[in-house]
Amino acid sequence: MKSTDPVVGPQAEQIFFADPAIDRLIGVVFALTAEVHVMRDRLSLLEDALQRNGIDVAALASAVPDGALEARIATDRTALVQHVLEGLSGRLASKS
Amino acid sequence: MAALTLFRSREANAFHELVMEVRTWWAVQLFPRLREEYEVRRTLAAQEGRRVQTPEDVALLFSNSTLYAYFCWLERHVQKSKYSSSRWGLVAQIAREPQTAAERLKAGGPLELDPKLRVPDYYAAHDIHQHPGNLHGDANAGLVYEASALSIHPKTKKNELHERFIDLVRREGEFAKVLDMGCGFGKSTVPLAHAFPRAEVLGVDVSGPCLALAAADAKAAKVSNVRFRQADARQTGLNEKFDLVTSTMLLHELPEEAVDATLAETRRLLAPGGVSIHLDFRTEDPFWQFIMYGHGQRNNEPFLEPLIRMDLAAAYRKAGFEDVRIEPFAEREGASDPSNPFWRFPWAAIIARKPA
Repeated sequence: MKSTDPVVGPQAEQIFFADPAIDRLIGVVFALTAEVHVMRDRLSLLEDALQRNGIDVAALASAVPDGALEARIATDRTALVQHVLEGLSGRLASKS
Repeated sequence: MAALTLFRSREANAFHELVMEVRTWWAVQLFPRLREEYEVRRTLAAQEGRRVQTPEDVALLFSNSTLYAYFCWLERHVQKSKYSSSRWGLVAQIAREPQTAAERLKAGGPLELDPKLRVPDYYAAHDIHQHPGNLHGDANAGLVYEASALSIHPKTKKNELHERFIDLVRREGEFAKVLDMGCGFGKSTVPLAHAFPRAEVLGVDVSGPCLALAAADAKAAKVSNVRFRQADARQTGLNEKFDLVTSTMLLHELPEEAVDATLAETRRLLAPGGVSIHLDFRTEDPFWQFIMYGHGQRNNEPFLEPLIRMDLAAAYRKAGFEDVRIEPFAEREGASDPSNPFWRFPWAAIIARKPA
């Protein structure tokens, strides 16, 4: 079904699919892919560092974050949601 | 691919490694599938008695193609994400690391800015390449452009294109005074100065931030025979003569009348017998014309299609050049061979001489 949403403002993004919802949804998938990749990259670096310093990486599976770490995770979650969902806006980030 | 060290942030580097990976996948995996689909659709059209001779015919073939829609989407949005992702996009990340920018630009360098220069309206009207604020918009614009350029030539090694351009220039002769128009951040200008160490090399561009990066890099690399000046290629204001005038990727950013003006200025600045080599994009193949016209739309380069449609040889002759040659240019060995299945720009060198 083709969307009948009005174009909001002069900054409407280019559309490549019959339903612009698909265009926006792939943006979400792409951003999620990037998030996952960056997280896996970080995780690999971290696990490598921990293991080299004698820490049992397997024990992290049952750890519970608190205090500053908990706040940091919350801030990161907010930024992640902004990143993943900004593709839904259908708005340009540049002049054309 | 070696780990990127564009930023201090490993997360940002990892994000841009992913962007390059996706861009490469698009060029070397998805594009060949699109080409195969084109051959199938063209065969079917021929069986129905329809001929495919123009880019408009090709567009009709792809009008209901899901694969083409994905191809377009990735071309548009991977680029957008690269520049504008709120998380690690180039614009945001470079602004977040002012010390990195300051370090790159601190060398200064031989640069003459023109505070009165007003960028042309056609240039200011678009954020070229989807670069928010465009290539001249703020002090970081040169760094953003340079970082972005890392991922536009999949399969080609860093600097390979510009080194091969220098090889092409060498085949045309030895030069003592060289002007590089629309030089951007000096990607070709500095190699030209290296290649002709006894030559005086001047790079001009309208973008002050790009020139600042070019000049700083030249100074940091201890290249002493190059200088930079802020000027519009259509009317540089220069009163000196050159025996070689070059540009790389300038003409397709200009509307037709600006191409004409740039060619006229090229001729004015050349000494009698001097050589002009502008490197840009040309193709006679309707499939590639269709791909490039779409690229222009998706990448905010509205003058790409008009340039490819333009009779450049006639424009050169009208501007007073002779021995005009338009030659395919391979950015890496074998790249321009028709059997190359990967996406690439259809580069061409336009070589011409001012009458002696």
